[in-house]
Amino acid sequence: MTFLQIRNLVKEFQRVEGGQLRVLDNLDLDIRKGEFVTIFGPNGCGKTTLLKIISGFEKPNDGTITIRNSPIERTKSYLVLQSPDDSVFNWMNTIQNIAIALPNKDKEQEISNLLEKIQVGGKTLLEFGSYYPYQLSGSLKQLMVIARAILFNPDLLLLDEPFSSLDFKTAMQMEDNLLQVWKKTKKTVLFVSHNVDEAVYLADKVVVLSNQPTKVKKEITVNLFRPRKQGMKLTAEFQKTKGKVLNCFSEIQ
Amino acid sequence: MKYRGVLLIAVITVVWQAIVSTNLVSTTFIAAPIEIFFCLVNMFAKGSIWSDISATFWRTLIAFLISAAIGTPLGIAVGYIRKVGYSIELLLDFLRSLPAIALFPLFILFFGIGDESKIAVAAFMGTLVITVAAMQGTKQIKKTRLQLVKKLGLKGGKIFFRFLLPESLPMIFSGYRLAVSFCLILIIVTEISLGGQQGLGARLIDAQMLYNIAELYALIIIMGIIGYLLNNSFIQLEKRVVHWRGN
Ligand SMILES: Nc1ncnc2c1ncn2[C@@H]1O[C@H](COP(=O)(O)OP(=O)(O)OP(=O)(O)O)[C@@H](O)[C@H]1O
Ligand SMILES: [Mg+2]
Repeated sequence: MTFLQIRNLVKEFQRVEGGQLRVLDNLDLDIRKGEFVTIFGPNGCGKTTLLKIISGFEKPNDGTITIRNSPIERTKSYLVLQSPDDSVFNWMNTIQNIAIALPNKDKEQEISNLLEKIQVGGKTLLEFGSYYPYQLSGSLKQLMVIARAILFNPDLLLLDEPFSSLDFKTAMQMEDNLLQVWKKTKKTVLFVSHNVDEAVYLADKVVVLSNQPTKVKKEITVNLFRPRKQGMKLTAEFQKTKGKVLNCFSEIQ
Repeated sequence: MKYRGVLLIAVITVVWQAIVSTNLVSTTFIAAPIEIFFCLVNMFAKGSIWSDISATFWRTLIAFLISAAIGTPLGIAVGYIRKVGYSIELLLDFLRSLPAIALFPLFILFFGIGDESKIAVAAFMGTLVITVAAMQGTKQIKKTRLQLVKKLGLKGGKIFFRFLLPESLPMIFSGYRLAVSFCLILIIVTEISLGGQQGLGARLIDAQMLYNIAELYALIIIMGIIGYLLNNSFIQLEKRVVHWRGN
């Protein structure tokens, strides 16, 4: 059953030199309910723009975009922006920054439980609970925003290169944390990544985008069974899928 | 640093005293630091100066509080409703450029020659300064951040108190500091121009008419200290309130 349906989506921006820059060009995309989709595409092809349009932050020039056959505003969605500084509230500490996304007051326990599971540099994120953003490193801020997004529990979760600032180990741990939450809540996830291992490991389906003017170049299904384990990255099936993605990517003009 | 600053003032005072003592300049309009010092001691010993200080201080503070109470929400609202912003910005810019003191004669007609007209002039200026600061603080908020807050389900008053206000607070505070200085200036100017009643400005004009040169200087120093203390307490308050800015 289609959850998110995008048809003939067009997005143009004003060029600095004058005229219009066509970023998204009649883009079509279907995403099923509960599907985990990663988006893989060249720099500047419009991945961030696409996520912003799906979140309602930007208006498309043309085309339709619906969730469950209704306007996107009807669905609870959340976008984790590329830079955490766009999402953190500087006057709130880590706990407060997350709690703002939760309606009732007695969510402290829920927050602690999640923050305890997130390990960074030998500490848990919970240990930074009363730190203010200016006292946190970039990756900690990013993790805080991801934790907020998870606890907000949207029906559609959009993430824009969320793990790009994390070290190798933290990123892998966050991959598994995210998959665990996803398995439990069965929400639909759209995840932009430049890391092919990450893109394949997480996804039911990898969507490869072309260069501008951007369309979907190919959708590659990932046939690894779930729950995923980091060790699967070494299997032949994983390598085969990864090869398909990279092949497709290298064909982009 | 503070210590060096005090030292510099001390050196200037000594040099000043030396110049006056050696009769290098005419002392008709220049008082010696020692004279000023004794005048100050005398003023505080007699005690009457306190009522003038408190009159000026309270007028300034009330004018400031009115300015903050009106300017803060108004500025945020104007900044938030950007489209209205365009039409109202010109009006605000015009009013802000208007020398507030020009309104004093008019305000005297409205409010009489008591405290009200003085406070009205100072509050007029202060309100505009704070409104413009709050407006700029709110306007610079990234659109994505606002959309994100709405995504999180914040509405109405919550958007105002939990997002717009703290987000623009650093800018609002620089407006507060500017406004309190303007209020003090305007209160003193209005006191000078009316004379008579209590207030440091009124004492200043009395001292001038009586050729009481030492007292003139003493009053200027008191006003300077009040201005300095006001400004400094706002800096301290800002550090407390906007603690999240770090360094
Ligand atoms: N507000 C804007 N005004 C004009 N052009 C824009 C604007 N936002 C994005 N663009 C242009 O749209 C194109 C796509 O930008 P976008 O940020 O979506 O790319 P991206 O795929 O996320 O890139 P990256 O991989 O670097 O994150 C770029 O060419 C960019 O210059
Ligand atoms: Mg991007």
